[in-house]
Amino acid sequence: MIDINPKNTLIRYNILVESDMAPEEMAEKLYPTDPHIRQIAKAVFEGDEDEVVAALQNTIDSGVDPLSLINDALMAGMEVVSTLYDYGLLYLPDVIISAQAMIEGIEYCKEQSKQVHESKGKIISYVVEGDIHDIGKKIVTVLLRANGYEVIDLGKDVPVEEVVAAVKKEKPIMLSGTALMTTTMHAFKDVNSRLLASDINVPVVCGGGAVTQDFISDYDLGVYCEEAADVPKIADSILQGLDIRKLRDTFHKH
Amino acid sequence: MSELTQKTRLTNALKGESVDKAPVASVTQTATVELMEMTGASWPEAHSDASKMAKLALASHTEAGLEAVRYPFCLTVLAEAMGCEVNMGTQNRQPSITEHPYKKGIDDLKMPDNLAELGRIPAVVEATDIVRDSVGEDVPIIAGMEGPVTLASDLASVKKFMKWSIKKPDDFKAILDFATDACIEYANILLDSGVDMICVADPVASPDLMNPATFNDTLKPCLAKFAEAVDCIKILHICGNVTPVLDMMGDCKFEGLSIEEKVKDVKEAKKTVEGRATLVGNVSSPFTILSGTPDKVKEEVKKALDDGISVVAPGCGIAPNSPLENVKALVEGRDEYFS
Repeated sequence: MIDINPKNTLIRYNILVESDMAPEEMAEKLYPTDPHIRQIAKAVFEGDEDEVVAALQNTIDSGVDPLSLINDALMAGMEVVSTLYDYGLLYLPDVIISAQAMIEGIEYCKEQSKQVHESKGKIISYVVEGDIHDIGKKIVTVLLRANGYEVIDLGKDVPVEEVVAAVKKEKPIMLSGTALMTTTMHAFKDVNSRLLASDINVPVVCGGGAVTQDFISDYDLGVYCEEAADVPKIADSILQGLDIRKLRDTFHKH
Repeated sequence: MSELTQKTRLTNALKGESVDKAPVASVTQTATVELMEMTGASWPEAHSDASKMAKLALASHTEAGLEAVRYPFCLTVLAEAMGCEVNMGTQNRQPSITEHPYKKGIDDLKMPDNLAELGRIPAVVEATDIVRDSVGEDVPIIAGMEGPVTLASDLASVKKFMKWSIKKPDDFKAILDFATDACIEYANILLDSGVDMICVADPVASPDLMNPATFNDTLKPCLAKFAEAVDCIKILHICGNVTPVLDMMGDCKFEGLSIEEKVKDVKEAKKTVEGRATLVGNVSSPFTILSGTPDKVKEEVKKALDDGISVVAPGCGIAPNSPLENVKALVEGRDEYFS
């Protein structure tokens, strides 16, 4: 079991003081210590798919369960990336290449294992009807997958009907909706009322350039999320049993 | 100082020269649903039909009082001419790129030899004639276009573009150079058609998406190359909180830099670019012009002027559902400030 919490490590290494450190140097301090695991995590950080698979193969050959490597190595590597992204040391292109390497690594681990990998929970992500700006949703989806959630990505410009149908079919632990355009933010209202009408009380986490905390708080199911990096934390909190009111207490910042 | 023409005032303000009062214009998207209904020139047709494009663009000058005419209403004209597929959107939704010609790689980059004849470029050129006939020489005409970074990401797809930025720096550079050349050629077509100024919107260059170090090393030279090759007054608009790259934007050789309200410290921003560029902005498009009141708009106009903004403008494209009275309040706020 790898016992590492990058947040604590960062505080221990006092990132604020050492903010001139290169992200690679920071990452060196955050990787898991086991040499095999470290090599995989580092390959994820570097976004090197070939190296990820080679390092996984080495480790699996040494007798480690492939599925355990998804959490212990691949996600540990991605967590380093997410953490440094949160701190503004890495940028979106870094997250994208690492996520791609991680996803290929997960596929490889699944192929190598006979068992079924259990995700932490199912989440539906979408961009509201009328909005074609999906960069926010891409970030959120990548971060959620990196944190072990199964994400059903409905895409962009998704009609309310389709969102509601997907919720009924998939029974997710939460919805993540984004709107970047002010013309489209009102679609959240329809999703909220249609879900309530069907007696579905799933939290709808909303973010994006066009929405504000006040606006989202008007809807019973709405949880406002300012930073994409908070979405996995909200999902973790839902698994810990927080209801919508408590989620708002924890994650609403204004 | 005697009353300047709107064109002289905007030109002087962007060059940092003295003016009788700050001009009010939108260097970003201007059309609203109300204006479409008043003129009968509506999206999506006004993106392709020269007379509708001109009519709708003129309305923001004649009806909303903005002191320039600015069109087209999207960032897809050049991208489409260069081979991207475009969804033309609806009455209140801008066109967007749906398919990218070079997502497989940069091996077959091909510059069209008849760019001026492709896609909607002839319509934009024709719209310039109509607008000029209508407003005469004293009102500035601003053509908007996508910048080299955004065009490159449209050609390659954002995801590939970002990936190349780290993994394939040579391909990244190649697609950017290619896009920069296309932008220069298109800007000169616009200039030959008679527009006075060009506003380059380059949202993908924002620190929200790209690393400021990449901006400094690779993106800035493309923007500066563009600026040197296009001989007119130019404005660079980059969305988001551009504070980390503002100093570099000051090196891009554009007269004006258009910023959003997300840049928190405008006074500091002004100091950063002083002597190199002037600031345009920064009344919040989504929170004030779309969902605020005329009084809130005026308040933000006055704050912008206090902070040293040279041209009063929306921070980003005006949302189509914005009430006309809020757009009008931009000029009213300026007039109150200078009365």
